[in-house]
Amino acid sequence: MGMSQTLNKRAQALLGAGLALGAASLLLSLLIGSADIGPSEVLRHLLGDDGSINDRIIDQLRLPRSLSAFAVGGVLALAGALMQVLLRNPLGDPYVLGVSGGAAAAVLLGMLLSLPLLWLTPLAFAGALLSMLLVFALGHRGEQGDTTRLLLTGVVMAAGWSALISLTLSLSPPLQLPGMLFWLMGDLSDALSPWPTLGVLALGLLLAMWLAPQLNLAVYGLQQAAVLGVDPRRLRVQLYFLASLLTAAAVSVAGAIGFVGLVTPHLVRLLGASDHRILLPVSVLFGGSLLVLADSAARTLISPMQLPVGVLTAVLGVPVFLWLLSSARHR
Amino acid sequence: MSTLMQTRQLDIRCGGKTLLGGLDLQIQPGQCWVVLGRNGAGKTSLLKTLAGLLPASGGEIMLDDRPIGRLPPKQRAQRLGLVFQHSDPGFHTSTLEMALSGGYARRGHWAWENAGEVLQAQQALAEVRLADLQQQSLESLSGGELRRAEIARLLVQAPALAMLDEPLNHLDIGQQIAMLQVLRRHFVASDRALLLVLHDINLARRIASHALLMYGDGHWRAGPVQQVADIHTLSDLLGYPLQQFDSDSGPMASIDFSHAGF
Repeated sequence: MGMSQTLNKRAQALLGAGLALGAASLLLSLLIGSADIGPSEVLRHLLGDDGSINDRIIDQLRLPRSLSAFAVGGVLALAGALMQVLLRNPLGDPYVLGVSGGAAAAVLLGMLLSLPLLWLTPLAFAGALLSMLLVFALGHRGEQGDTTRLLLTGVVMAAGWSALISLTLSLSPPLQLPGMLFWLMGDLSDALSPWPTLGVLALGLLLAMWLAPQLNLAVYGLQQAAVLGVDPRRLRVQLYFLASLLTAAAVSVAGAIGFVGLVTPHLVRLLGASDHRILLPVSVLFGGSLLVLADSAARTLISPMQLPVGVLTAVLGVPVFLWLLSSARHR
Repeated sequence: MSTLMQTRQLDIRCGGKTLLGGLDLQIQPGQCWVVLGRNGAGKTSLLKTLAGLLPASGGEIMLDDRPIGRLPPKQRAQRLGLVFQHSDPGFHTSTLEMALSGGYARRGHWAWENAGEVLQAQQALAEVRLADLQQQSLESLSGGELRRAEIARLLVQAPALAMLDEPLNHLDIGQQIAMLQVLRRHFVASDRALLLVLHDINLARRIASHALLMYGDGHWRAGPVQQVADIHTLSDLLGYPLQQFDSDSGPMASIDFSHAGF
């Protein structure tokens, strides 16, 4: 009995690859930056505290930021994987239901009103929550297993938020515009402590793993899952709220970072994971690593200036995804 | 022997139209029911309602003497199975994974499929003649192969009452007979029952012990197949003249082509 018997080689390889990728990307992100710190020195600073500048760079700047990036990337990938099952659509991503739009609209309005920076994270979360509840209330009726209505409601809501965002941008004083645009494109430089986000990631993954056996049935459709022993209404509500809350958390920490949530679960599926008990943790590892690498590039490519990390995730993700898609064959 | 499923005064309405009114049905272990009726008569709605997926417009559905809505989903799945008329494999999964998914209701929440369950799923796939395709992805299966994979999943699920909505769609004649044999072997037993929606009246009259005729306007007839599914009743039900002739293997129904105009 137990995992080992059916946890086939491909799954083991994927989990191993994810762990290795996660460790490698984190280490790499600690090594690169404007201050030149070698691998052995990085390790020494991680383990001990000698009060040097480099020690503080590692312990207080690079490590928290890398962990934040990993947590946000993992959360987004997890939310994307859940959303794709909820909507039964491989193009589902964390933002498709307008959660990020609500967050962005709230934050930009806050910036326009010159609210203190500290307010922005709770404001983003409140906006995301509001959007989530609106979409749920309006789109969650209809027949069992009908996700079209939910999808349409979310897409229309997202379009509405987008208009509000454009309006806010056009009304904003030019000096504030760069900050706003950065937020819109996703940015980790304001991430303070990584621990709350890592906590969200751990809790989210635990809850998602609890749902995983049901997700394995939901891919055949919620009605089919119901025949096999799942309560479809409950699963749909659980999936909706878990995916939305995860998205809200990620958006409030780092803005709307695109592509990680869409591309990562897809990539893991294309690599051969269809069992969600494997797919979810591997997606978290891959998504976290992707964002760590993208963020490292974002802060070093044209340093001392920083690029919005959302641009980098797209630049990294698009070619990888297209290559995988075109080389995937029917097995 | 106790009744597997019973309906009392079951009404099914769809879009303001009554499809079925006051249905009283008793399905006993060992029976094989066939549902006959024209397109749109409400056969699929009936199956989904009996499975608890659609709310009944009126009346009661009892499974093992309990209202169907009161049974916890996992418990219900162990007693009642349904193969849909249409299915969509959705994401990339293999034929074996699909067959294994039939065992969900019997597995512990955190339990992984053990070797015995894998073997059982492989045997089910072999029974529906898909042993060679177990690692194949569902998207690459033909319509008939997908249908048989769904039947394999039903065998793994092994419910007491198995309902199948036009299970012979997409199957060639040899496969139709083979699948009916498999279904009979598994579900027409001392503690199980089968309910099929079929359009082939000869197969229906041959395999079924009981028939439910749905007229699509609320009216229905139910009972032993010899009593309710005679050739005149079926002509009337299906809205097309049929004739009966004797063949070496018994009475056969045929379309009366003199009205066809070709």
